[in-house]
Parts: sequence; C-alpha cells; structure tokens
Amino acid sequence: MLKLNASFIDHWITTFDLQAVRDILLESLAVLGFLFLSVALIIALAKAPILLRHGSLEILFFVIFGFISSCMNVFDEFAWLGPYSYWKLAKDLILLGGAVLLVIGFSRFFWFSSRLFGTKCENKSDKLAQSE
Amino acid sequence: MMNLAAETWQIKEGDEITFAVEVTLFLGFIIITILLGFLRKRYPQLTKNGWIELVIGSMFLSLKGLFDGLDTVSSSISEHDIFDSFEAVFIFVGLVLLGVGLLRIALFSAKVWEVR
Repeated sequence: MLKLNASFIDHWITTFDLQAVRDILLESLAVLGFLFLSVALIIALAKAPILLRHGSLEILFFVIFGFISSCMNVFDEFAWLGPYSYWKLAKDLILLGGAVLLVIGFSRFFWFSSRLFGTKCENKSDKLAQSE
Repeated sequence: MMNLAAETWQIKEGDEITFAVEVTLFLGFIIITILLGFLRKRYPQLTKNGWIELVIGSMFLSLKGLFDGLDTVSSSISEHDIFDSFEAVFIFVGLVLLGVGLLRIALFSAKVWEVR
C-alpha cells in the first residue's frame, strides 16, 4: 500500500485556494448528476418493472461506470498523481465504456417495448390501422 | 500543433490516446443522439414522452466530451479552466435531463401498459 502510494500518488494536496475549491465543486456536480440518475432509474424500475427489465442493466452499469469516473475526477483534485495521463485516460475509457452500454441499453429497451405491444414497427402498424 | 481561431492548440506528448478517447466520447454521444432520432422515427408512440429530454441530455453529454478534448489541447491555464467549467456544467445538466427523460418514459410506458 505504501509502495503504491509512493509510486502512484506523488503527494496529497492539503491547501486549497479559491480556484481549487471552485474546481472541486464543479467536478462534484457530475457525481451529483450520476446520483440523481441512479435515483431516477430506481424510481423508473419501480414504476415500470416489466418494461425496463430489458436494457435497465446496461443503463445501471452506465450509471456505475459514470459514477466511478466522476469520483476519480474529484479524487485527483485532492491528490497530485504521478502518471496523470494514464489516470485521465482511465477515467475517459471508463466513461466511454458506460456510453457504449447506454446505447445498447436504450436499443434493447425500445426493441423489447415494441415487441411487448405487438408492433415491430409502429409506423407500419399505424398505416395498417388507417387503411382498415 | 495547429492554429485555430488565432489560438495555438497542441496535443502534449503522452496525451494523444487521451485526446483520441475524448473525441471518441464526443462522437459516441453524437451516435446516441442519432440513434435516439431513429428510435423516434421507428416508435413515435413509445417515444412520445421523455424523448426530447434524452436527446438534449445526450447532446449536452457530447458537448462534455468536446470540452474535455479541448481542455486537453488548450495551451493556457485560463482556457483550460473555462473548458473545465463548461465540461462540468454540461455533464451535470446532461445527466439530469437523461434522468428526467428516463423517468417520463417509464411513467408513460407504465400508463400504456395499464391501458392495454
């Protein structure tokens, strides 16, 4: 642990000027955003458990990945990291992984919803209904 | 090094991959926005509520990726701070909109499900 500390964290930041406090507050906004999204997702799952079953796991992992990435963002305001480029790359890659999962999640949710309502494509079914 | 809008932008050594990932993040959220457009066209009824929040939210998140990339290549500290602030505000508003959109879609879907 001490070795990791010595190699990874150059030193802890203990004094904060106005600029540093502003940065910490701004970076914390993303953490709050992901917390809000997780609460919204839990409420959505409680309200429509069947509909959100497909795709909700991917959206949940987007929230988890995003939360980790934004916490890393806040953490580096408190510690002076040795290999900062790798740290920044890791943060971005985690968020990118989350974004890919979000695409899959949304696609699965809408695909399943349309199947549940018996319409493969709503436009076609609407046209059929109109012609009848 | 490149000159754009009378400013000098430079990708620092070791930041090439980071910048590429940030640009990918920007493009990734643009792809999500386009995908949401396709979903709207395909399922106009299911996407009636909450869709607009999801689209604006993903646009804001793509702007977060853009400003993240810009702060990596910015040459001065003042520029870096401005881009950093934009990035933080855009990700927060984007996530809140995503949450609201998701909630509205779930509530609407539950209502449709009850009617059926």
